Amino acid sequence: MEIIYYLIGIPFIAGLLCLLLPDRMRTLIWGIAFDVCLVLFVVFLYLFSDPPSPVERWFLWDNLTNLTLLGIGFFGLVIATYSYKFINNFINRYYAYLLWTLAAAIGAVVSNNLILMAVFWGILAITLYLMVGLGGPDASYPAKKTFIIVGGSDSFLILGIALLWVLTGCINITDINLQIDRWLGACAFLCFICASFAKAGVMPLHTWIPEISESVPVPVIAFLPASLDKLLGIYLLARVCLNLFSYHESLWFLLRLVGAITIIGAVFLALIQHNMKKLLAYHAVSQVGYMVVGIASGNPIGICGGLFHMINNAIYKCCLFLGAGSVEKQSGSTDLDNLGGLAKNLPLTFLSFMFASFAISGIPPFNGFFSKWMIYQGLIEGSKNGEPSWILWIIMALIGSGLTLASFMKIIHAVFLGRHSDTIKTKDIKESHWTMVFPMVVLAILCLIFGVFFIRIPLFRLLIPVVPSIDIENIFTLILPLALLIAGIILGLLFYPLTVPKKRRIAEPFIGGEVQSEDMRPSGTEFYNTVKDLKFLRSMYHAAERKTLDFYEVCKSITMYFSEGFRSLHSGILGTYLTWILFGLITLLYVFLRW
Amino acid sequence: MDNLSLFIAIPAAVAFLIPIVSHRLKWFPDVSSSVITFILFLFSLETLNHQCIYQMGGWPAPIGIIFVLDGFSSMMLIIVNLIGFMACLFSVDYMEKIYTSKLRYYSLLLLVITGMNGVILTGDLFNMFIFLEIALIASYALVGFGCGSKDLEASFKYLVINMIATYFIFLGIALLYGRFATLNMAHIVTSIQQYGTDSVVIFAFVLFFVGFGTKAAIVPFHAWVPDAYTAAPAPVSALLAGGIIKSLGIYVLMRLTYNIFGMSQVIANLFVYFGIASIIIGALMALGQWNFKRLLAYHSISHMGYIILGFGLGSPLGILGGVFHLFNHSLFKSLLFFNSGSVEYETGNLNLRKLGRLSEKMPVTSVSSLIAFFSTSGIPPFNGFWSKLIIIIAAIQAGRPFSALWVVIGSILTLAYFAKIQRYVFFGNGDEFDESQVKDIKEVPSLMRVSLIILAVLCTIGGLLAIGGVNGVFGPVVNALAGGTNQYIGEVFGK
Repeated sequence: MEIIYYLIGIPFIAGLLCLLLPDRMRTLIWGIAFDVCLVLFVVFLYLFSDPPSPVERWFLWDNLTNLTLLGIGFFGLVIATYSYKFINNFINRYYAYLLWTLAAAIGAVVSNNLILMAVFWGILAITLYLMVGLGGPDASYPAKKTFIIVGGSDSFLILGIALLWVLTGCINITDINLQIDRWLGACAFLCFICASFAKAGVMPLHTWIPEISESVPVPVIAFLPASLDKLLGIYLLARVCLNLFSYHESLWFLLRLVGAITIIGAVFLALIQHNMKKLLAYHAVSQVGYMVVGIASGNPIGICGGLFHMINNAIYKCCLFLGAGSVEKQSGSTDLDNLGGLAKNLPLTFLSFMFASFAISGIPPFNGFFSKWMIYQGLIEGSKNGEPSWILWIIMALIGSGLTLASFMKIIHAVFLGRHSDTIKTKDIKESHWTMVFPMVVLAILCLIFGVFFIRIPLFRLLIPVVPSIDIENIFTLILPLALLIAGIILGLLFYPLTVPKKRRIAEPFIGGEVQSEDMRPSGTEFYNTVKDLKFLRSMYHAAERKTLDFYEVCKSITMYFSEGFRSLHSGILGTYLTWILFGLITLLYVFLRW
Repeated sequence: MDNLSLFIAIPAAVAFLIPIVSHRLKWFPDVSSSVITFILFLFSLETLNHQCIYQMGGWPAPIGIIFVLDGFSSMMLIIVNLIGFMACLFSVDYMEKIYTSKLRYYSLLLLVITGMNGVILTGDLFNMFIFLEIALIASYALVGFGCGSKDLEASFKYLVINMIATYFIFLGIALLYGRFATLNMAHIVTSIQQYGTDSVVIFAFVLFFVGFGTKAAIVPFHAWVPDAYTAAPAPVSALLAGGIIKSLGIYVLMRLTYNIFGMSQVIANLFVYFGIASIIIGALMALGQWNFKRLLAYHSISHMGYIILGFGLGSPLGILGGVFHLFNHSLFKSLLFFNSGSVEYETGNLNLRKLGRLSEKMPVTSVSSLIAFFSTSGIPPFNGFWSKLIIIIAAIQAGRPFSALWVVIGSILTLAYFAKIQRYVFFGNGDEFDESQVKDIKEVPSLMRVSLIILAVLCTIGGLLAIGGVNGVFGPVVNALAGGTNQYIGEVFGK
C-alpha cells in the first residue's frame, strides 16, 4: 500500500526541488531528475514480478497497470538521459514538469477510483500545457490549442464519470462493468472515448500533435505525444473497453471505423510534409489507429496486438523523434528540403533511425511487424462472423502500412542519404553527445529484440499476463509467411550482385553535361508531389491546408459565429438593455401566471 | 460572535471615521481599512457552524428588526469579508499609483461592506432594502471612481439598470406588506402558509426574481456587468464580482426562493434554463473580448449561471454544488481581477492585443493567474473542478443530463478564453505588441503580491479541502436551504 504513495510522492517532491534550484546548477537538477527516473524504473522492474496489493478503494494494480507503468518508467529514464545535453533553457522548470508528469501518470494508472484518476488526468493536462509552453512565444498558440483539446476532453471525462456513477452507483473501476443498453450508457462510453482519443491523438482530436511538433523542444514531443500520452490514452481505452463497459457491437464498430480512418488519413497527410518533426507527428497519429482497431476488434488476439503495438509504437516513435532531435541539434534544421547526406556525419543516429523506420513500417524481424500481424489476425478473427466491414479494416490497415514505408523512405533519403545540401555546412556536423546517442541506440536495439525474441520476451512476459485468454495457436500461423518473407529477402540479396554490372563508373550527377547546381538538387520531398496532385487527393489536401478538416478549427469557427452574433446584440445602448429586462419580466410573468 | 450588529457597526463607523481623521494621519485609511476588514473576517470565521438570532435593541421580532445567522448567511459573511479584506490589502499600492483620493475610496469601500453584511444578516425585508441601497449607492460611486468619460458612462448605466431593478424590489416589498402587514421575513412565511399563495405573492416573487436577478447578473438582466467591471478599479471589480453580485443577488434570491416562498418545480426549471442561458451566452461573449477586464466580466456572468443552475436543481447535492461553486468563484474571480489589476499597474494597459510576454517579468502574477485559470476552467485538482463535478453529478441525478452537457460545454469555452488570456498576456504576445514596452517591467509591490499569493493558495488547497471536508464546511448551508420554509421559521422563532 505505502509503496504507491512513495511512487507518486517522490517524483512530485523531487520536481518541486528541481523547480526551486536555480538554472545554474544544471548538473544537480539533472542528477536529481535522472536518479528519480532510474529508481522508478528499477522499482517498476522489481514490482513487475512481485506486484503489491493495494487498498481497493483507491488503487488497483493488475497486469495492465504493470505493463503501462513499466513503459512509463522506461520512457521517463530514456528522456531524462537524452535531455542532459539537449535542454539548455528553463532547465529547472523542464525537469520539474517532467517529474510531475511522471508522478501524475503513475497516479492515473494506479487509480481505481475514477475521480482520483480524473484528478491525475487533469494534472497531466496541466503539465502537458506547461511543457509545451516551454517552447517560448512561438509555442503559445500550439500550447493554447493543445490545452483546449486535451483539457476540454477532460471535461467530457468528468461528465462520463458522473454518468457512470449515477448509472451504476459505483465509482471504482474494478466494480463497474456496464452493459450498454440505454443511450445514457452510450453517452458515458463516448465521453470516456473522447478523453482517451484526445490524449492518444486519434482523429478528429489529433490536431494538437502536428501543431506542437514544430515549436516545442524535441524531448518534450518524444516524451509526451509520442510515448507517454500514447501509453496513457491507450491504457484508458483498454480500461474502458475491457473493464468499464462490455462489448457492444455498434459502438465497437464505430471505434474500428475511427481507428481505420485515422490510420489512412494521417498517413496521407504525413506523406506530403516537408518538416521532419511534423511528418513524424502525423505518423504518431496514424499509428494510434492500429491500436484502436486492435483493441476494438474485441477478441483476445486483437486486443493483445493493440497493447503490443502501444508498447512498440512508444519505443520506435520515441527513437524516431530523438533521432530527429539529434539531427536538429547538430545541423540546426529539420526541414527535409535543406537536409541531406547526413548518414556519414551521424552514423549512429542514422542506424537507429533506420531500425526504427523499419519497425514502424512493419518490416520483419522488427517489433512493429509482429504487433501489426497480431492486429491483422484479430481482424481476420472478427471477420469470421461474416460481416463484410472487417475486410475493409484489414485493407485500410495494410494500405496504411505501405504508405508508412513510403514516407519513411522519403525521410531517410532526404535526411541521411541523397546529396549534401549547400544551405547547411555539413562538414562541421559530428555525431551527437553520447547521452543523446545512447538512448536512441537502446531503443533501436529494443525494436530488434522485441521482434526477434518476440515470443519469448514480449509475448510471454508482457502480454499473456494481461490478456490470458489469448489463443497462441493463431500466432504460430505466422511462421510460414515469415519464412517466405525471409526467403524472399535472402533471394533478393543473392540476386542483387548479379544485377549490378561488373564495370561501372561513379560520377557527379549531371544534366545535359552540366554538373547539377544546388537549386537542381532533388530533395526527398519531391518524389511525393505526384501524390499531392492526384485528382481525388488534391481537394483533400487543399482542405487540410486550409484547416477546414481540423475539428478544432471547425468548432472554433462555429463558436465564433455565435459569439459574433451575441456581441452584435450587445450594442452598449442603455435602452436596449432595459428592453431586455422588460422582456425578462414579461416572460417570467407569463410563466408564473400560467402556473 | 452573538452580537451580529458588529458586522454592520464596525465598518460603518470606520467608514465615517476615515474622512475625519485622515487629514491629520495620512496612513490611517490604508491601515485602518485593512485591519478592520481583517478583524471582520476573523469575526465571520467565528460564526461558522453557529446559529443565532440578534434582536436590535432587544425588541422582539414583529416590532423590532432582527438579524438571523444560519449556515448560509455565515458562509456568505466569510466570503464577503474575506474578499473585502483582500481588496483592501490590494488597494494600498494599486490606488496609490492609478487613482487619487484614497480616503473617499476607503470610506466607500467600507460602506459597501457594511451594506453587504447587512443584507446577509437581516431578517427584515425593508431593512434589507436599506442595506441594499447603502451598498449599491456606494458602489455606483466606486465604479465611476476614475471620473473618466468611460467610467462615468459605465457608472451611469450601472446606476440606471440597478435603480430600475431596485424599484421592482421595492414594489415587491410594498405588495407583500400590503398583503400581510408585516415586513419580517419569518412572519411573511407563516402568513403565506396561513393564507396560501395567491397572485399577489406570485407577482411579488416575479418582481423579486427580476430585481435580484439583475443584481445577480443573470442573462438577460446582465447588461450592466461588462461596463461596470471594466471601468471600476480592479479591487472594486473583485469586490463586485466576488461579493456584491453574490450577496445582493444570489444570496437574497436563494434565501427568498428556498426559505420564504418555497421551492417549486416551475422555479427550479426557470433557474436551470436561466442558468444555462447565462453559462453559454456569458462564455460566448467572453470569447470575443479583447479587453482583459471585460472578458472577466462576461466570465462572471457565465459562472453565475453555474451557481444558479446548481441551486436550481433543488436537490441537496445541487445546493451543495451551487454553494461550493459560489465560494470557489469568489476566490478565483477576485484573484483574476487582482491579476488584471497587477497587469494594469505595471503596463498601464488592459488591451490583449497590446500586451505580451509578461510571464518572465511578473512571475507571481503569471503563476497566480495560471492557478486561477486552472481552477476556473475546472481542471483538477484545483477548487473549481470539485464544485463543477458536484454540479454535474447533481444534474445527472436530478434527471437533467443535458444541463450537465451544457455545463461541460461551458467549461470548455471557459478553458478556451482563459487560454487566450494566457497566450496573449503571459506566454505569447498580441498583434500590436511592442517589445520596448515590457523592457523595464517588474513584479508588483509586495502587498499586492501577498494578496495574489493568499488567494492562489486558497484556490489550490480549497480543492484539497474539498476531498474530505466539503460536507463539514458546506453542510450547514445545505441544511439551511434544503430545509425550506419550515426550517427558516424554526430558526427564527426558536422552535
